[in-house]
Amino acid sequence: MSDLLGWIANGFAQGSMIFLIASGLTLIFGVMRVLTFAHGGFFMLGAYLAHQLAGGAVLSGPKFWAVIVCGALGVGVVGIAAEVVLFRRLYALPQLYSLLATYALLLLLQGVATLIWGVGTVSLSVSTRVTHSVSVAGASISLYSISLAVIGIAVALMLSLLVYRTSFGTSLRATAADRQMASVLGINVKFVFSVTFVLGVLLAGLGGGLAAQVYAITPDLAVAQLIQAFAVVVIGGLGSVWGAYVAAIALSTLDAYLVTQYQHLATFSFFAAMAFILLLRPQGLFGRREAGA
Amino acid sequence: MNPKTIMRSISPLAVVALALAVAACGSNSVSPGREQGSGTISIGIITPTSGADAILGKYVVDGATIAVDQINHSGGVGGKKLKLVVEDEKLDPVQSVKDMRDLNAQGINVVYGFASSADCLAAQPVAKQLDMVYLGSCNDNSLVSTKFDPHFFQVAASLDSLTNAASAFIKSDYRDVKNWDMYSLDYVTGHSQVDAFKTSLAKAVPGVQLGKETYAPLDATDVRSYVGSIKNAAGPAKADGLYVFAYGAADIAFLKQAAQADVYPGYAEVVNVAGDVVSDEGVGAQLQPTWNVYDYFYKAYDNPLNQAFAAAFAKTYKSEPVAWSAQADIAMTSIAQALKKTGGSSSANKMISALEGLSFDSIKGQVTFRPSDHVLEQSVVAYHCQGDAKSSTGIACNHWQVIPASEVLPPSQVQR
Amino acid sequence: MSKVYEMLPESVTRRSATVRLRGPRTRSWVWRIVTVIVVGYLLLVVPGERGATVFLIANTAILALFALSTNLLVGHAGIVCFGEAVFYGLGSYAASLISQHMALDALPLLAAAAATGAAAALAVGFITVRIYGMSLAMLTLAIGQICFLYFSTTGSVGGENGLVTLGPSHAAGIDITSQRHLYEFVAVMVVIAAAALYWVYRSPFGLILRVMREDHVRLRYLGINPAAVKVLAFTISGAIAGFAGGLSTFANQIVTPEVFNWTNSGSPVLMSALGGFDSFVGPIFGAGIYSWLTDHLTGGTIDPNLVLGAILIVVVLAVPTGVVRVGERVRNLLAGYRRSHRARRDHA
Repeated sequence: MSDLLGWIANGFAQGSMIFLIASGLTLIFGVMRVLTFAHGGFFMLGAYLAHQLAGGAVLSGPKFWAVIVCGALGVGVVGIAAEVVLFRRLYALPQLYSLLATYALLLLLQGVATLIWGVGTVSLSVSTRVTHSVSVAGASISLYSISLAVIGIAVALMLSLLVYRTSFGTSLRATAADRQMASVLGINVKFVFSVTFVLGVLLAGLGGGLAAQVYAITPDLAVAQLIQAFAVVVIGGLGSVWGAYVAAIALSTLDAYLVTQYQHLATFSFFAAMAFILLLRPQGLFGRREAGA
Repeated sequence: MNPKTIMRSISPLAVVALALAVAACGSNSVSPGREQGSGTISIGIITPTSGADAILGKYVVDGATIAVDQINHSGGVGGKKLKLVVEDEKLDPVQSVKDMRDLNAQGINVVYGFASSADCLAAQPVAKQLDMVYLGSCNDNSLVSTKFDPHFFQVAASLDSLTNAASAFIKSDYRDVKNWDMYSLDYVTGHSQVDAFKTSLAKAVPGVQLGKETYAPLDATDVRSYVGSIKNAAGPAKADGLYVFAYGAADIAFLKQAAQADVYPGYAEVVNVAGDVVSDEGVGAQLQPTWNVYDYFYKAYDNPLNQAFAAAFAKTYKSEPVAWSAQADIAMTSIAQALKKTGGSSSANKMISALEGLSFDSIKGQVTFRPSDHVLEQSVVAYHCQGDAKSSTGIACNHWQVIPASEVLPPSQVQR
Repeated sequence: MSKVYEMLPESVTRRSATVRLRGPRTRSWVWRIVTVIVVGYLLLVVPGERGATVFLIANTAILALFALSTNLLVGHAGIVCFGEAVFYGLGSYAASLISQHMALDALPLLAAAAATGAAAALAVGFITVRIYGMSLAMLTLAIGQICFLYFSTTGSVGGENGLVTLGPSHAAGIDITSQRHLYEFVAVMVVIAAAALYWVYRSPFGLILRVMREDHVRLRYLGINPAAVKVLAFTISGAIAGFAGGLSTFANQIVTPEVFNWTNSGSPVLMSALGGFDSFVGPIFGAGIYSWLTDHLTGGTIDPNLVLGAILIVVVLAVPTGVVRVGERVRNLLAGYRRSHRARRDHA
């Protein structure tokens, strides 16, 4: 039983991290039809900004969350700049070009991080009040993993509320469905694009701040979970937030389970599952099959 | 022909002309030609100065620079000064080979560096073909056994040495830890290292039990599940030891996530083979007490050469030297000594015979290049680090133990 | 179907011009001269250069061939496949593994490499026959990662260090152990393979591929089975990619699992985009530019990622149709400017 709880907790924690990147990706794709590699760069920036704001001190609970949120806001500001300068020009171009331009932006962000923070690894330290293990039904689970799981589900719920229960959400869904018609009906499409983009970037920055604690903070962080995030977006269905969440949690939990039972399979499990699901259901779990595709 | 057709025709021609011009300029701009015999002797350095491991490249270049400065200060080699030419290998074996050719085209025959064993292996055919000598910090065992080639000299302590050192250290300090679990990375070297450790420890501490083995994917950043499985394997508190073989970002990920998952309380000691100060600093203040087993620790060698080296390094680069810098220093020292023996000639044959059996004073004391397999006979050091929020680097390393060469050196596997 | 559509450059999908089913526009005499110049440079001028330059050009040529084979699928047929690295890598490993066990002549080794690439591509094409767009891109990426993980963890194929093999000593009986001869052999092979691809491009099959990228439903109305076309396109592309991989093994004498990594899968697509998707020679220019950039950006004080990223962004935004069409792009911009200027003047 304690084993079971252990790997479920790890699966949820890992999956929530991937989901924070994937949620922004899937929203941006759903609304703007732009598949952005640059999201990894914002994730990395979130981690670096958190490190910068921490200033080398060991952070206690409230200060840690404050630093993470401020870091995410900082990344949001960079996101606004990126949207205005680069992304606005990508909306009209075919998808393949946006893939390439955003990959270039990813490289650029990595280069900037190296320029500012150097080539070495930097670290972020928090007190054990944030990260110690608690005993849950006989299993020893890291409090941090629980926090991540909670944040993941909270973000999924909030996004779902935003998209389905607010007027902005309606505008968002309308723009995603048919941007020309939405614009004709008076929806400020540019505004919807910008807000969606910044929202996605904020989530990635938040993910990065949360990751700063657990992963090594190097420019490589930009590509660390990126491919997994892409996989999760496509498996869940492009444009579907819940699809991304379910896919992220399911794949990560599968991975965590295999690690405890069949370790030599675990290495391949993520991509094998990805290939398997895409072969059976190319539009993803919650995606819509486009006419004639 | 109307203007439109002309316009249409010109653009591809223009592009091609531009491309050819660029290629012509490119091939001319790379090198100023041979430099030997003009008052300086150039030594090539191939190391990652960009990309994921750029920090290592920086340490290598810094260490080599300090070494060369000191050598030049005391007269150089036969009156000639040494000069370093650095090329970026981007952790790519194909790029390493390109760099070797580039350096060779500039008249350089002696090269040091190579961050990974794949690079050293890739460089072998080129070194043979172009008659170059290369010294590497690659520590793969095959380079000095099954894939031995006389053009290569191994400056880093081989993985077998590190394993033997870990066992010797455990035997002397933690003999009463009866069960060892192992964590490594899921690639060929990861597995072979664990196997070597099991054999070597069983010999050093008879009756020891070898527990669970866990292998995490080579490139994984999130190893919490693997850490979790170790935690479940740990027996009653403080009864077991944990052997870790990981380096770089994988090492940092493990150390961070193990600290958070409260793995450490379950173990009496955690021994991190191939862990070094760079990884520990990457973890920072949350590093739990860990013993590293690696080539060099700046506090552990109390001789005038090392003191001068560490002082010069700290003064110039405002940080302490690490193993990568130390290896570079030792390599430069050996090259300078060999060049003195050959009278300044850097031809491969002469350098090889000069280096084989060369015994010299280095920052790690007296070391020798074993003639049979070109392994550097050197000690290994086990040093203890843990997080310290008050320290500027985030960690404090205050205990160490030098394990002499005689206890760690594996027998030569090359018959010559 | 709309997903395929959306993925392609506007210059290809615009309905106003007739679909360029006849192949490249009538500039044949210009291109012939250009081809002669380039091939002549490759075969006559380069062998005399310094070793390092020869090596660089050899690698660029192989890269260009790889980009060409990728563009057959991505640019011409509109199938976004990120798995070309799989075919290239498998061909490379095949050549390496076979030459470790048998001392073969270079030509049979290359044939084996090409066959391996083709077989893998046939398999992939077959199982993904009904999948298009982003799903196909991600699926092929996943296959690439699985190959990467497998080759990194399996000792019998070299593990994470890869395989080092000395190149073959003979090609059709001619000795190629010297640097110069090896290069000449590689260059000749690249030119032949590129010519073969060009022949495919100009053939009726090439025509069908280009129709497929426009609208693959219409192909069915014409009585052609798009699935068969897709699989065949994959096979040809895989064969050439495997061939390029084999050449890489000869030239570099090493192959590592990194060749399967997703960052490498993207680079031939990147090169094709740089040069221009919808032309035949675009990928060649893209490969040349990319190779030159990465070679000259190393060792500098500025991080190469920064510069590469900046340059790529500028190119993609300013010249989305690719560098090859830069003349046309400039002309369009000028025409647009003239038109708006005239409009302003007329309505002032």
